This record gives sequence, C-alpha cells and structure tokens, in this order.
Amino acid sequence: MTRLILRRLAAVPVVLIVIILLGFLITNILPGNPAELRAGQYATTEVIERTEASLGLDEPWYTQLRIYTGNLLQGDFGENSLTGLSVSDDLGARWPATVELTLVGFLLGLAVGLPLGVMAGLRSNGIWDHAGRLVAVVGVSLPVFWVGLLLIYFFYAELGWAPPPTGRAQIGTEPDDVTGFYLLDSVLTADPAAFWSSLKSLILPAITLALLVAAPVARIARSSVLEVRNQEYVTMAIASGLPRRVVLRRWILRNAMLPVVTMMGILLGYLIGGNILVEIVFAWPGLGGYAFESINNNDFAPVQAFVIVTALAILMISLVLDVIYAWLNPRVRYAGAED
Amino acid sequence: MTEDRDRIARALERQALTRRAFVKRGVALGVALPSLGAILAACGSDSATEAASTSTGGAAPGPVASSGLSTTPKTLIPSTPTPNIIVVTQTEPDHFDPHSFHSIEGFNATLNQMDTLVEWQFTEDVDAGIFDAPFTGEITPLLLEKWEVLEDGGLYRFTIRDGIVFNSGNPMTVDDVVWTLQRGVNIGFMPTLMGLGRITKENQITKVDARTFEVKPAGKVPEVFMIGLLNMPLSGVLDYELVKKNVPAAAGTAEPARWAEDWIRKNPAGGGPYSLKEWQPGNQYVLTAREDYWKMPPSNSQVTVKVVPNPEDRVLLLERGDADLAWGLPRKAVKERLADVEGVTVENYPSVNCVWIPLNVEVKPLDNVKFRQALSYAVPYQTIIDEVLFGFGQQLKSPVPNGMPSHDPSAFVYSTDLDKARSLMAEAGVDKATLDISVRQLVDDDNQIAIWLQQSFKEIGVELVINKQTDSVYQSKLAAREHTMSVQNWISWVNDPYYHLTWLAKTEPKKGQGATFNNYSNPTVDKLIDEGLYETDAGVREAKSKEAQKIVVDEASWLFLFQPDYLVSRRSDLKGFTRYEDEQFRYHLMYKDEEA
Amino acid sequence: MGTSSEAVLAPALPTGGFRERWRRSWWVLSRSRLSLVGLGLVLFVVLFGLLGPLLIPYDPETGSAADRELAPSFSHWFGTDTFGFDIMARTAAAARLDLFIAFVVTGLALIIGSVIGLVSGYAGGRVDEVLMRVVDTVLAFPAFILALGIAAALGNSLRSVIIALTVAYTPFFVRVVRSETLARRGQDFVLAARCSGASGPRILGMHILPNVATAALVQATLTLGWAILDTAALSFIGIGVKPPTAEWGVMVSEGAKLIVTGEWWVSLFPGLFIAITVLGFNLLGDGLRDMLDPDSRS
Repeated sequence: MTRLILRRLAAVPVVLIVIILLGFLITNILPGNPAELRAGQYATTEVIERTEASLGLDEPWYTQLRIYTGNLLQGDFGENSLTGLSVSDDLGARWPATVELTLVGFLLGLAVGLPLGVMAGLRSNGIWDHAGRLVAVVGVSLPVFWVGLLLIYFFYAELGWAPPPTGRAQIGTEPDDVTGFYLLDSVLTADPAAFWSSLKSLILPAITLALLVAAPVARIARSSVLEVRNQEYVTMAIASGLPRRVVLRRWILRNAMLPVVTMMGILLGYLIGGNILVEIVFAWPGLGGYAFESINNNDFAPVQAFVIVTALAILMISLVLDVIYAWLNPRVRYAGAED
Repeated sequence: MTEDRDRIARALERQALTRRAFVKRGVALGVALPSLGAILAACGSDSATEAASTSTGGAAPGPVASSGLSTTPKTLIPSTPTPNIIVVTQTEPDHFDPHSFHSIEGFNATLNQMDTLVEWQFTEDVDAGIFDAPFTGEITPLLLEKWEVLEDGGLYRFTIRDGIVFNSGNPMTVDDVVWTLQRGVNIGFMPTLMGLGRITKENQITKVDARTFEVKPAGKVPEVFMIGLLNMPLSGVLDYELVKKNVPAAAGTAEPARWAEDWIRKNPAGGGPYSLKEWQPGNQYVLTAREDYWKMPPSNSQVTVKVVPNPEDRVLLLERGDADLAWGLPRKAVKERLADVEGVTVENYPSVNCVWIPLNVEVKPLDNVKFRQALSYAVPYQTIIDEVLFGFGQQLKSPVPNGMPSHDPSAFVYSTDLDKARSLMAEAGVDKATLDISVRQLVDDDNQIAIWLQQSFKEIGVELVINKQTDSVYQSKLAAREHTMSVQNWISWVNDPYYHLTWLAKTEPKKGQGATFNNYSNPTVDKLIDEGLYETDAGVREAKSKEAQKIVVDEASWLFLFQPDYLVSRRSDLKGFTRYEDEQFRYHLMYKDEEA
Repeated sequence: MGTSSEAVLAPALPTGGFRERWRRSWWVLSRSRLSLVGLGLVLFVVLFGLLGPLLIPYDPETGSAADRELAPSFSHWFGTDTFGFDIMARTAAAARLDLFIAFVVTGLALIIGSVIGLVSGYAGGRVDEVLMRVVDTVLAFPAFILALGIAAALGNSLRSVIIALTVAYTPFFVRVVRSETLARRGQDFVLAARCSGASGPRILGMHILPNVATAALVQATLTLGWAILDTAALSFIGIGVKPPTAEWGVMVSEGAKLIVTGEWWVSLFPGLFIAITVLGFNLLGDGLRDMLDPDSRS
C-alpha cells in the first residue's frame, strides 16, 4: 500500500508540470490585453506601453513563462490586472467559501443519495427501487442553474422562507474571521446568530449542489449493492446463517463501497465545475465566481491560478481516494499494488 | 445667445470684483460612466435652466449644515447618525487610485474616501428628502480656500484650506496637492484630461508658499473650464507623506516608480468623510465614517457596500428592506414591481447621459453617407424607448444632449420611416448588407437594443449580426476602433458641448485617443471644436456648437438613441440622498429617518 | 464492472452476430419500461423540433413589441418573451440546435476517442503510456471548466462550444474504449485471428471494434445528455450562440431576468425541455447499460 501511494505521489510532479504548461498556454492565447485592462480606459498610448513593460508583457513568451514559473514556486500567482490585488490573496479570501459550500453540498448529497441507493439495491424492483432510480435519473437530468433559479424564486421571492441570495450570510451578521469558514468560525466565536445566518444562506446553494451529488451516488450505490448481493460469497454468508445485519455490514456494504468511492472522486471534481454555475446563480463569493469574472475579463493571472489550484485539488482528492480505496479493497491492501 | 453671454459676463464680473472663488453655471469636468463600461466625460459651461440664484450659499465654504439650513424648522441633518447603511451594487471596487479608472464601483468607493479641491454646490430639498447637486449649479471650493484667475486665464493661483487632516492623521499641505496634480500629468487617463486644460508638463504646476500653488496652462483657458477640470471627482488629493512612508521610491525621481501606482491602487490614500474599514474581495466592503471629518460629521456611522451581481436580486433586496439603496436596477423591474412597493421610493431625473451607436465609417458600406442615413431612418426609435427605457428617458436628437448648453434638436430629421430608408438605400446603391454589432454579454441594454434594431433592419434588407463579447475583448476592440457597430453611452462631466464633442466627434490624433469610436473625421467639425473650445464669447460658442451638431447629424455617423433618466431606487426612510449628475453616490449625508 | 460486461459479450461471436445482438438489445430494451420512456422522451423532443416549424405559426426570430411578454394562451401556448418572440417556436428551434450540437459533439468525441482508445489499448507500451498521461491531464480539469476556458480562448461562437465540449468529452471515450480493448486483446478469438495472420488494423476493425462498440454506445448516450446540459450551461453564462438564435440555456437566462416581474413562463419551458431531453438520454443510457450488465437487470 505504501508502495502504491509512493508511486502515485511520484506521478504528481509530472502531471503538475503539464498542468502549469497547459494553463500558461491556454491563458496566453486569450484575447485582450492585460496592460490595457490595468491602465484603465482612455489611458494614453505611452501609459499603456509603460504598463506593458512593468507587467513584463513586452518580453518573449519563454521569458514570461520563466518569470511566471519562478513566481509560482514562491507561491506568487501574480496580480489581478483589474484590481491589482495579489491573486494569491484573492484565492485565499475566496477558497473557504467554495470549500464550505462544496463540502456541505457534497455531504448533504451523500446523506440522501447513499441510503437511497443502498435501499434500492437491497430491494431491487420494489417501490423503493423504482422511486430511487427515478429520483436518481431525474436528478442528473436537471440543469443546475435552472434548479437554482427555481429554488430562489419559490423559497425567497414567493414564500420568503430563505434569506436573499446574496452570499454567505445576511448583511451584518457575518461571524468574526478566524478560519474563513463561516459555520466553523461562528462556532469558534460562540456566535449563534452568525451560525444561524450562515446556515440559512448556505442551505439553498447546498441543496442545489447536493442534487448533483445525490443522484449519481444513489445510482452507483444501487447497482453496486445489487452486484455484490448476488455474489457467491454473500450467498454463502447468508446460507451459513450469519445475521443479516452482519452480512450487510461486513460483506455487502464494504465491497459495494468501492465503486462509490471512485464515483465520489469524480463527483468532487465535477462539483468544482458545477460550483461555477451555483456560485453565479447564488452570488456566492467563491472561486467559481472569481474564475468566471476573470475569464470574462480575460485576466490571465487569475485564470491560470484557478486552473492550477483546481487541478491540484482534484489531484489531491484522487490521491486521498486512492488511499481510501486501498484501505477498503483487501486485494490492494495486501497485495501492495494494483492499477 | 445674448442671454448666455450676459450670464457669463455677469459671472466673470462678479468674480473679478469680489475675487470670490466660485464659478457661475457649472463647469465640471469629469469622467463619466455608464453601466459597466466607463466613460470619460466632459466639460461644460452654462445650462438651459436659469435658476440663478443670487444665493451665495455655495460661495461660502463651510459646513453644509450651517447657515440657511439651520434656520428651516426641518433639515436633512439627523440628530444622531444612523449606525449602518446598506448599499447593494453590481461589482466590487477594483482599485482606489483616483488617477486611473476602471469601473464605477472603484470610482465610487474612492470618491467617498477622498475630498477634491472643488465640488458641486448642492441644495437641500427637505420635502423630497434629498440634496440636489445639478450640473447647472455652481462649483465651490472644498479643499481650496479660494482661487484667482490671473493673466486673463493664462495663470491660476490657488490657496488651500488650513487645518485639513487626511485619514492617516497627516495634515494636508500644498506639497500633497502639487504632487497629486503632477502625478495626474503622468498616470492613467489623466494626461488626456489635463491636456484639455493645456497642462502637459509637471513644471506647469508649482508651489508658491506654504498655502499657495500656481498652475500655468500653455495658453489661456477659460475659468469655467479650468475649475471644471479640477472638479473631476477623480482628482482627489493624495496623502503624499503617507505614500512616501509606504513607498520609498515615491520620494525619488525614478519613473514610473515614483508614482507608487501599485500601492495607491490598493490603498485609499486621501482624506474624506470615510475610511475603508474592511474589504472582502468579491463580497463586500465597509466604510467607516470619520467623526472628526473637517466639514461636518457624516449623518451615518458606517456604510456597508455589498456586491450582488444579479440585478434582479438587488430589486428583491431593496423591496424586502434588506438594503437601503441599490445601484443599477433593471428598469422593467423598477417600473413593474418596485414602483408599487410600499416603503420604496423611485425617482427619475432627466440626465445628459447619451446612448448612441457609432457607425464605423471605415467599414463598407458604412462609409457611404446615404447608407448611414438609410439606417437612421430604420431605427425603431419609439420602440426602443418604450421597450428598453420603459419610459425612463427621452430621445437623443443631437450629439450634444438635451440639458447641455447649445443643444440643438432642429437638425434632427430622422424618424422611423422604412420607405424613406429603402429609397436612401437605393440612392446609396446598396441592395443588401450584413453588418456586425458588438454587444457586451453582461450588459442587458446592449443586447435588447441590438435585437430591436435587428428586427427593424431586416425589413430594409440589412442583416444585423449580434456578436456577444466578453468585456475585455469588447474593450480591446473598442480601443482599436474595430467595432463595426456597438452601443455606447457617455455622461460628460463637464457640461460643455466642446468638452463633449472633443471626446466624441473630433478626429482622433491616433486611434483610441479620444472617444470618437467610429473613426469619424470631418475637418470642418474639428475646426469648429478647436475654435470653440477656449472661446469665451458665449454667442460664438453656441453658434459654432450648433453648426458642428448639424454636420454630425447630417452625416449620420451615429445612430442616435436616447438619454436615459438617472433612476434612483431607495428605501423611503433613507433620507439625505444627494443627487449628483455624474450619477455617483456620496454617502455622507444619508441617514435613516426612523419616523418615516 | 468490467467483469460483468465481459460475461455478456464473450459468448457473442466476433462477426455475424451483429444483427442478432441488435435484436437482442431491442428485446432487452423493450423489457425495460424506463428505457422505453427514455426513448419516447427523446423521440418526442426530436419530433417536436422537426415538426415545430410546420405546426407552430410563428417564426422563432421574428417578434413585435405589441406581442411582448404575453402569458401562455391559446394563440401562444408557451407565451412570448421580451421581444414578442413565440416561446414555443423558439423552444422547437432550440431543440433542433441543441440536439444538433449534442450529436455533433458526441459523434466527434466518439470517433476521436474510439480511435485513440483502440490504438492505445491495442498498442500498449510507451504509446499507451503517453496517451494515457495526456488523457489523465485533461481529465484532471472538470469538463465544464475546461470547456469554459477553451471557448473563452477561441472566441465566443458556436464553433468554440463544439470544439471545447469535444475536447472535454473525448477522454471519457478513450478510457472506455481502451479498457474494453485491453480486455478483448488477450481473448481467444483475437488470438485466433492473430495466429491466422490477420494484420493489426484488421484485428482492430473486424474483431475488437464490434465488441467495443456497445460500451462506447452506452457512453455516447450518456454523453448526449451531458452535451445538452453543458451547452445550455455555457449559453446560460453567455458563451455560444448569437442572439436572437434560440437556444435553451440562453432562453432560461433571459427568462431568469423576468421572474421578478412575474413572467415565469419564459424560463420555465426551455428549462423543462432541457430536463426532458437529458432525462430521455439518461433513461435510455441506463437501459443500454442494463442490457450489458445482466446482474443489475430487472
């Protein structure tokens, strides 16, 4: 198992270099001139040229790449051309929002999807099964932005149950900044009002994201449980008179979780993409909205940074999942390596 | 015309006699901006309304709350400041450098934290609950104590007010002011503007003594114009000591490091009613009122400006009282929903904001005057005003908008007349044409206007292809003057036809230097503008301006659309809103009236 | 689940069983009510798109101010939008466009992905190593972000969206086809063909491809659904068609602005059609998957 993890880790730098190069390539063919963006409208040609020089844009591409990579190694993602703020700071200010939303949405989705899928798998062809399958397939078919809009319309505009879709907490009730995670911060600072406010603001976007998670999880859990249930070793276990609960826990669930774990990895990556839409619809001040804004401005530094951070996050997630997978899968755990 | 001449004469005479520092009939210069894009604005002289007060209220610098206001039984100054005012806005402030300009929000955040040398005089309207600072009003000293016009406009001497303290605690000195103005000769778009005031070199701005400095333009500049330039809200005075402390290079001579651009864009370095308490990028920023603000304590203690990108969300927030004031709401929702909501006040004021479509005269067949005229007859003027403006505005009938001196709608012959358009097409020898119009993908008005035009142009055999572009693509093509057609808007901050036309209709020395987005070039128009710009005779100014307007309208290099009203939606209990015609929010007089 | 699909496919003869397999597929499909529903939904949307112009007496891109924002009524079943465009006519036009995009994107991704997958899986060794590294890297980006970035870089047009989505989806086909190819490569009928002197391309084309095709087809059905969703999502944030071209995502985003003033129908119908179409493809894909996977079959 250690060998497997080491091997995975060894591949990381290679993928990383490719990602950095790719990010640089993609963003350097973006149209638009960052110097113009930064000098402001109606700036004179001289001012723009001077800005270009100060941003290093008059250098050949390989020099730019060298400067960029050098800065990157020091954790410097460059500057947002529009605001002049450090991209690292921008990302620092925004990632807790995205991670908080993603985690809550993800867990909510798992909490709904997993039991639904397992139930459906255990009693295939029952009412549960059909209901579960329908929910799952409908869930993956809904456009997330549309669902977000409908939720806002009904629960905020019409019913008035939800708070306004304006970010992470109602105005004036934000918790004091400790970690940047509002729920955590309001617990740490013992601020129930802030906790309640943050939770309320989080609910609709989290539900929207959860929909993206619950449906595929339920689907994969169902088919996986179904498959395991029909395996000989399960039949054997049941035949040998073991209690159903034990069989369920030790044989069925444990084995059925393998594909679910794989699916979780794919979903987490997918969520980072799906987040953009949810963040736009709910005005959530996270990375997705930032990326969208930067792409709209063709601001290359933030786009590069976003691409790299996203890819890094996905890489880490898949590493962690590999470990979980290995832990769950005795074949990998004992044999040492398997692809 | 004689009336105008008399007015200017009276004003100049009064100044000459009293040496009192104020300019009659506002000139203001500025950078104006519309929706998302930004616009530079312009200079003005006098205006259509003759409100002409003998009131000297504006002339006497001092606390606004004093004098006239205190004698009325009711004022718009609360006894205790409101703890927090919540404003919802489209985007976050991009940066705080008064000399470079990116977005309205950055500009708005800056001007609440930074006093300028002069300001528009404003008056109080207790019944309406607002203050009013029209372009047609006077300009009064703010950080200045007075100014003197010497050598018939060839030299200006300024005296700064004593005892001003920046937000940092540093006292304001004449060195701060001189450095700020010299910086303006070098940074951002300011050189373009300073150039209009014939100031292109640092050594034209010199310190005389501890409280006095002089500006020597390269040629005479009328007072209205010079003071107008100084009234640019973006020319806030920077705290040079603070800058030097944080950026040692600012004390040196190395270019461009001495202008500390990187630091200033991130750090509001001036003195004004507010200081920046916190800024959470992408979320909100909070302004704290300075209780020791020199002019008067602000009517509120704090302003929270929250970024809510979706305009419809801002409508709902205002409706439910979750926000006190909202930026840029969609007119449809204002009219059909907000206007009927109890507790919300919607006000619209006529504005000199121009919205038009520059026709790129370098693109065939738009180089053909007849064809451009044909298009002008195919614009569904009324439909666009009804469907895009929802009645909040008026038709634009000249490059110089209604409300700006010398506005002349008489040359405007166009109406929606498809037969006329077809016959002009035939005269032009154009049977069919395909044209591109570039629209900013996030700007709703652009898209709507384009579709209505497309529907109508289809009738005369012109296919309009709508290209949605991201802001940056749009802006860089605009800078290169490559758009075939696009929707533009502009508020000239100096309410003067020559300032206005210099930007919008004069041949650009080089593409992108100016705001003549359609590569239009007419030597006669250029000559008229040049002659009128520094002319002091009001009659001549008016006549030449009208002549230029007529040529531009005849040549149809614009599709003239409309002048949208300035639309303000606020909670009814929010009092002390100040209407500035640059359509920016100044927060320090706002408070919430608990009795309302 | 690679093991279980082998179980079904292994008995199939390498050639000649094609029509037989399709007959069997149809039989399985017809036994699965949900897949039939899926097929029905897809056919409904296709017919709605194709017959729309014949049945709806309005042009999707011609409107008038007089007809603006009419609620659904007998003359305008789905109502009209801000420009007086008939929403039903636009929904039908958008059905043609969105399905077209989805089929083109999926078709391109299927072809390119299958070729790369076959080569990679069959050749193995260094070629496989390099190709997989590239695929993994592309897969490291969420498909939507990748598409967003590519479309932004290529310029705002339909062509960019098609290219971007194709790039984003191709790796999924590479993966599926490669793993199926790997599974087939060592099987008896391939070995037999190789022993009898068949060339590499011939083995790939005649023996492996038909066996791999079914798995790729399932992937394609699901990809059609993704393509519809992602095209709409890109348009929703402003990347894709030129106005006033009707496209579901654009229509939802236009309608979103009108919800506050009560015109709910403008965004409701196009949103519903996205959901129906994707649901159709997903149900159908599920059915096809069940067909391959006897263990989970009802």
